Amino acid sequence: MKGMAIVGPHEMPALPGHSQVMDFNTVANEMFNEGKYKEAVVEYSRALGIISCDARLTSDFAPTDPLILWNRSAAYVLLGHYRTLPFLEVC
Amino acid sequence: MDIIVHYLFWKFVDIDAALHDITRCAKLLPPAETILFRLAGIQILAHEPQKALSTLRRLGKTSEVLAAKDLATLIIQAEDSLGEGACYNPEFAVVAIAVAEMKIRVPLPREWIMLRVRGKFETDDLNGAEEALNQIPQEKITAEILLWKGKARLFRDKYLEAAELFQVKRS
Repeated sequence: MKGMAIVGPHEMPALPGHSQVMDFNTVANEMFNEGKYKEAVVEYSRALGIISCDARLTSDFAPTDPLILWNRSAAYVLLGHYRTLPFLEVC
Repeated sequence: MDIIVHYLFWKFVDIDAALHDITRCAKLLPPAETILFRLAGIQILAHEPQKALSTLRRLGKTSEVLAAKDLATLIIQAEDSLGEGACYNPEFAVVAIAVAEMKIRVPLPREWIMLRVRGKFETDDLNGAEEALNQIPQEKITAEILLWKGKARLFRDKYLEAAELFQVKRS
């Protein structure tokens, strides 16, 4: 690949000061890996809720966090009882 | 509030919501294979073949070599969406066209060549379809390949040649 930035959500640098958001993400990932997709969606949504309610966090994650969106998109797909596809990993 | 909404509507919004999230995610990040693949995959699941094709074309422009396993995933997904007895499926056509257009450096297995042939047919590229068919070694010619070769001849109004190929297929 030439002239293309290889940036995936999993390759983003850790954002300091957002441990609560990341905690929700970690919990959500655990739920996801246990197959509890509904609960995972709720936890990812909580993380996104924190981002949108807290201006200080919003500035860093602005306009919202792609990592959480990336993860929640996978949870939503599996929530719809689609079979697991290799491109649906979370990070 | 967001959480309550998700609890209330999760049954109805799953794929649409997934599409919404991954679309927003893709807008926030520079284009990358992983993101575009997921976007295309979810667009296929959401029955948005035109958007999926557009995403795959975008991917084809940015990437010289595709990750074979990712592409295989999309192919399997598209094949799964083929219903019994269905002769045309937009999701499958999307992947076929994408395979037809993309640059893949590794030698293609016969199934992928056939996918490329179908993609070329979908885009009315008869020359491309015949070129892909001719890449298949003689010893690997099957009835399906003869059928497609016959179709290609038929589209060129070469009825006798087409009939000959169909006869071989029958025998």
